[in-house]
Parts: sequence; C-alpha cells; structure tokens
Amino acid sequence: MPELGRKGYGLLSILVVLLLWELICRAGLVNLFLLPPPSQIAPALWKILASGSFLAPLGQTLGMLLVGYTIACVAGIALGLLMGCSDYAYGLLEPLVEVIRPIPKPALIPAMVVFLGIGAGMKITMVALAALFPVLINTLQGVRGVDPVLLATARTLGCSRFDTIRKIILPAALPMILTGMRVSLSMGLVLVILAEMLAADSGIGFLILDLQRSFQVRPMYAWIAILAVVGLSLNVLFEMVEDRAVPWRAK
Amino acid sequence: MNEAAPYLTIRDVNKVYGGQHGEATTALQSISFEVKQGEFVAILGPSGCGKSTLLQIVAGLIDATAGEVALNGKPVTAPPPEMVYLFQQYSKSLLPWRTVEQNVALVFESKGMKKRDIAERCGEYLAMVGLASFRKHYPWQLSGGMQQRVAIARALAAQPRVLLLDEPFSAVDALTRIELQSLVLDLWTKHGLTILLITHDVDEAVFMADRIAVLSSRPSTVEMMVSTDLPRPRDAMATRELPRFLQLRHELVTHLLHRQNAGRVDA
Repeated sequence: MPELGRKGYGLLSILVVLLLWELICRAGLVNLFLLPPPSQIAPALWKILASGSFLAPLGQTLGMLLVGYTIACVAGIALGLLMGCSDYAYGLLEPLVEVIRPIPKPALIPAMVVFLGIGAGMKITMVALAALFPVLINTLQGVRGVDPVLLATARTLGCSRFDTIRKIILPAALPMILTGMRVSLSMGLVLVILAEMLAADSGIGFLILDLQRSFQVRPMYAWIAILAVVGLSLNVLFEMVEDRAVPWRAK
Repeated sequence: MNEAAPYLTIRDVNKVYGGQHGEATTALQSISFEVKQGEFVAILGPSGCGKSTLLQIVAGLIDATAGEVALNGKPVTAPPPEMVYLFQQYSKSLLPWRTVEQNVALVFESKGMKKRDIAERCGEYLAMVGLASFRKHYPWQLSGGMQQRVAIARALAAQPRVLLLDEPFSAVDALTRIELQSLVLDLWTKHGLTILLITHDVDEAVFMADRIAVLSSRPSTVEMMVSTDLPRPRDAMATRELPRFLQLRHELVTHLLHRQNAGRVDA
C-alpha cells in the first residue's frame, strides 16, 4: 500500500471513534453535559486556538518539560557512560539507582512540594527525576552492548581510552540512548501534567483540573485534545531527530 | 637484516578458560613458533580450535594463561603500535556513523594530525585498496568485499610492521576472496609487512603463505609446520595449477580429513 494511502487508511479508525462518540451522544445514551459530543467540543477548541489563549499555558508546560528533560538527558547520558565505562562507578552507583528507580515518580510530588513549593523548581525537578532513569539505563545498556570487536579494533589501532569513549562508545550507544530519550520524553510529559494538577497555579495540567472543578467540561476536553496533539508532535519531532542522528540504524 | 633472527616469537603459549567453579577448558597448549621479519605465516586449523584466541594473544588483546609472545625481543603485554589486528567481521569493525574516509581517519586523529593532512593520507590509503572514489560513502552502502577493503586500508594507515589477519576473507564471496588475497599479497610485498594469517581454508593458506602452522583441535598445539616453497609473485590462477601447490593441498586436506574422521570415532 502506498505511504499516503496507508496513512489515510489509518485515519479511518480515528474518524470511526469520533463518529461513534457523536452518535452515542446524539442518541441520548449519555448526559451531554458530562460527555459532550465532538461537534460541541470543536467550537470550544476553536475558541481557545483562535483567541491565542492557548499560548501561555502551553509555553509554561512545554518550558518546564524542556528544562527538566534537558537536565535529565545530560545527567542520564553522563551517568550511564560513567557507569558503563567504569566498574568502580558502577559498583558505587548501581545500588542507589536500583533503589530510586522503582519508586513511581508521582509519589514523590508531595514530598517535593514540601521543600520546593509549587513553582518551577518542583516541576522541573519532577520531570528531571522521571526522565532521568530511562536515559540512564538505556545509555548504560548501550555502552555495555558495544560490540567487543569494535572495542578491540580501537585498541589495536591505538585509540586512547578517552578517544575510544568519545569516538566509538558514545556513537555506538547512540541508538540505545535515543530509545531511552524517547521513553523519557513521554514520561516527562506525564509528570509535568501531573505535577501541575497536584500542585501548581499554571500550566495545562492545572488548567484541565481547574476547568473540571468549575464544570467547564467542553474547554476541558478541548485542552485534552491539545495535549494529544502536543504528545503526537513531540513524538514526530523526535523521530525526525532520530532518523538524522542514526541513519545507519535502519541498515 | 639477519635472515635467521626471529622477529615474532610465540613461546609455550597456553590458554585455559574457566576453572575455579566450572570445568576448565584448555584452548591452547604449549604453542611455540617463530616468525621472521617479512615472512607470511598462515595458521591453519578447524573451526573452534582456538585460532582466533591465539592471534588475539599475539596481538596483546587478551592475556595468555602461560607462555610469552615477544615482538622484536620485547614481550607483548598490550597491543603494540607495530601490530594491527584485522577482524573477520568487517561489518562490526567499521564505524557505521563514519564515512569510508572518516573510518580511515580514525587512525590519524589519534596521532594528532592536521585535518588537511589527514584527508590527503586517507586518500592515499584508500587508493591502495582501490576505493579512492568511495571516500564519501558509508560502510553500509558498500558490499562486503569493499567493506573489508576499507578495514584493510585503515589497518595499513596505522603503519604496522606486523599485520594479524583473522580469517579476513571468509565472509565474502569466492571471487571477491580471490581478489582480496591477491591485494593483500601485493600490499604485503609493497609495505614489507610481516603477516600472520588465520584460516580454515587450505587453498588460501597454501596460496598465500611462506609457511603454514597446522593446529590440532582442542586443546590446540602446533601439529606441523610446513614450508610452501612456492615461487613469488603468486598468481591467482597459475600458482594454483603448480604441481607443488596441488601436492601440498592434497597432503593438508588428507591430513585434516583423516584427523576429523578419527575425532568422529572417538566421539
């Protein structure tokens, strides 16, 4: 099936779900106030988009996500490389990682609020904490998975330890690192929204909860739709970066 | 140059795997032989006899359990700059994120050369293996034989005195193999290299080498050392039709087959 044809075909399932939703609402099977049909959500969405009022909360949320995510990626790659290349670092840090990693990160939000408040610091910390571990673990596995032949080749060609890490181990682990970064990105998005819902006075998460509490159900759904598009766009963006960064992976 | 002086000495090399808890396996047992400077020695043995282990010990990539390897009188404890190891798996030894040229450049970068000089030198070495026009390609865009040529160019760029070849032609098709054999012989002559080649291919060993060390199956020892005594330069067709070539090949194949059958009765 041609590429465009397949994508168009895939859209069909989305349309069917929207249509069913609309029909269920129109048939009077649900309370329209609690579950408005897509045809009523669409104007609410249009109002938010056309007025430009989506820009501030969106910028706020994406800003927190970006800062926290960047910190997590830098720290995760650095720690993963360190643990992967040094047995001492691995022995020292592995128990710590294994103790913190299994904690469901949302459980830490109340604790973070206690000493960081409900501002940017708390949200960034939460995103960074949640996004750190997938990057770290994948980097570690990527480093450990570098083919021994490649490492032996570096040794026989006289590469220094530093050069081997920079020019061979890091790029060889890059596909795994990117896989970790992709998982981290969705984790980060989940955490920033959750942190905004639990403890914040701005951002999309805060807004969705606020709209729900003031019974503005249609704009609430409109914001959820915006979040879906945000998540999708981030993924598409990430795929484009990935294709450029590791063109050899497909081979 | 003193003809008789050994350049590369392998003395009583043993390699034992495992032990402590599991059962110890002796891969190599008392392997000793010498290689003269400029000599081409093939190590012939069946799969799984520890040929690669032996070559990696010679390269200083892994440690022997006992025994010693010495290059020019100095014991080898780490990969010496005068020796380069060429792996069979070219697809794993080339860096897929680097172009052909950048793969060769890796060698020069670690020597702190200037960028312009590096490009020039890479061009020279790629021309030697007939890949001058593929410098901007990525390894995965090339055929297996071409990838192994890149690996050869990179190995030569390190300017080794000794080249250690670990079944370098066993993963390419038969015609490409013949081409690469002649290319390596050519480069061996031009650069005055000393080559140690591992192979399970009798034809290849006889065609390329001055002497052939035949390894037994595990625990491996040098079963016999054969001088090929074939004239050089060797020709892909003519050399293979010489009576001496046919006789040697016959003897070696008979020997290997006989041993394999004997092994089967034991098992």
